[in-house]
Amino acid sequence: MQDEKNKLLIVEDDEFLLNALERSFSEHGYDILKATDGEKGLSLALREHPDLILLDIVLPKMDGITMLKKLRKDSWGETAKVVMLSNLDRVDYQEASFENNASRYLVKTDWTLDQLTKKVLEVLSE
Amino acid sequence: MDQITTLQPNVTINNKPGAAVEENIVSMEEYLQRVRIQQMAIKTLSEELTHVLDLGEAVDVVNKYLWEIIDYSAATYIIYNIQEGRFEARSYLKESVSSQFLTQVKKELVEYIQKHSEEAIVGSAASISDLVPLIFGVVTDEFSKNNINSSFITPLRVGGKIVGALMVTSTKEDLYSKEEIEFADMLVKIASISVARIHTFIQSLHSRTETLVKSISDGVVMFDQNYQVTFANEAMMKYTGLPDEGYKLEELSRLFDDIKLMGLVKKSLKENIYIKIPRTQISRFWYELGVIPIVNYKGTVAGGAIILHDITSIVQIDTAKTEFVSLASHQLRTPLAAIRWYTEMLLSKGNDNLTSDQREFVEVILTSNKRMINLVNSLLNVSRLELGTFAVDPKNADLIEVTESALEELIPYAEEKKITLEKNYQENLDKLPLDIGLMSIIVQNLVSNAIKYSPEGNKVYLSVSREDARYIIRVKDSGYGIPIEQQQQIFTKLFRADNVKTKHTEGTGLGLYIVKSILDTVGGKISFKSKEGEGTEFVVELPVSGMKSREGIKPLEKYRVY
Repeated sequence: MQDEKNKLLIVEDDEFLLNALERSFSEHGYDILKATDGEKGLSLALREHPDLILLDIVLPKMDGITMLKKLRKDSWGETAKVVMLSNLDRVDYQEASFENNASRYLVKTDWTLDQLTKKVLEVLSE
Repeated sequence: MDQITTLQPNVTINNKPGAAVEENIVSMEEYLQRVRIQQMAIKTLSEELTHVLDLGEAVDVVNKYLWEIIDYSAATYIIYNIQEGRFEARSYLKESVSSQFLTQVKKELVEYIQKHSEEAIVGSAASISDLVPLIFGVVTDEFSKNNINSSFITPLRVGGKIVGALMVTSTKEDLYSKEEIEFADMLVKIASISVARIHTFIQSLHSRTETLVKSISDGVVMFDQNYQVTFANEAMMKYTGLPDEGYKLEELSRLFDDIKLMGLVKKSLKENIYIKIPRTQISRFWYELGVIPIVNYKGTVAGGAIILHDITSIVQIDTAKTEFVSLASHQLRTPLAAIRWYTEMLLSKGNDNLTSDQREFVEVILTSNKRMINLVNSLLNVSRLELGTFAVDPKNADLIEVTESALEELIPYAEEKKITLEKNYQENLDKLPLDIGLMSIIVQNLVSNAIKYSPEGNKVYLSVSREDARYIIRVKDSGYGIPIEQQQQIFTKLFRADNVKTKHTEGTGLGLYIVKSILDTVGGKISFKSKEGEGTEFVVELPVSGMKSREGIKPLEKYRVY
């Protein structure tokens, strides 16, 4: 039987943030995949084809912008939904994200978990 | 032709054999009359020459007097133009002569100059023989006008050097007495001395300037109209590794990867404008670069200069600061986000495990956490504003769309405070050049202030319209207002009104300072009306021409205000 649940990949290197996000999104009924660096994130994304990727920027091994660019070169990854979730609000990163078709660019400290969940739901329904 | 050299060393006379130059018999009356005319000419020539800056002009003046007093067919000058570094030739024809006549004149003059001038001035003999004289008069092809039958040459001297010569020629025979030649020579000498004096003066000014330019720490390179480098100071040689002169600007231009220097130089000279590039690079060093057209005393562009100001240490400091800001924002925000999300989970509706004391304490933690988040956000931007280095990059945009998108992020904050936003947008507004990032910062600051300083459940009004040549954004609240005695200070940094300090602890005192700084930079205006206890209205004005662009080192980071 096919899984009806939305599958969400969270790429985040801070354990506490990752756990909080996992907890919150699980409560809202998502299947959660987790990666703590860009390389793992990319291989997991290409293997599992999640419905949406929440992607940090400063990550070990491969940063989020590089991962996003590599993802866009894959035939599935080309159109995958990606929400950037970072602590950096530098304009150059925002531009790089939107040039690579990220759906949103969110700064972590700006949002409550509830608000984040709503944003992600919005993107999923687009 | 025979040559008779007179006792005067600088004057060569060509006359027909047998011409009795010194035996002309004239009456005393006639002689005195001629002397009077000559004296008068010398006197007025000296006066006229006081305004003359170059030898070319001086020659024009001299010719006017020769014309009056001496009988000739053609008076021809070849002069070295010191300012432009080349020879010029002019022939003034009092009567028509053939082109063969003029060719012969030129040939003799060129030979004379090549023989008597210094090598440094003559330069290549080729360039002087290729000279095409400007001819003032009528050239004929009559055979009878071919022969030079009387002539003399007198040199033009500046500072002891022969920089040209005058040749007076006629198709008539037996002209030019010794007295006439002396007179012409005298006129030319007076002209030369006058010009030489001015040159000495200019040179002393020039050498003072040169000493100054040589010793300054900015790199300076000067070039002529053909983009040939004529001077470079030591700093320039150090910065570029190129020699002090004698190379083409293309070589210098190739050192810059990020700008097209030749293009800038050509534009600067063509339009006679100063061009400044705030930041460019040669290998790992950074420079501010300026291109300046240099105009001569006639007001025409005669070349230019490039100035390099070393800003490497400033760029290094700025890079260090940007890195620090990035690092700080990342390192500080990660734990701040964790605190925020975990306290929110503790307080979430599903969690009933907290006692009322515990709930209250966690709420305090959350409030303090939000203050810190706010402070981090503000500090990141103020550091950029303080340096005045933020860029303004306007693109044609719809002011209402930009406003709406800026408001979107404030909706959760408005909902939290149960504030209704009433919007009034004028329809069909034309697009205008806006820096969208900066416009968002302005709207978000003003609207979030209106929300922040209004009691729960109030309304905030926002309108966008065009009034004459201005676009107007009004943000009005019916909140606490600003005490009248403090209204003068609201745009200063870290100012917060007394009446809200106690009610709201989360303000940073930076918001309006940031808005005002941006509007001052982009050519906009901000004003306000406020009454304590009744509310405040802010009015932002932008010209229909939109925001003025400004090249900066970095765009301002997106500013979050709630």
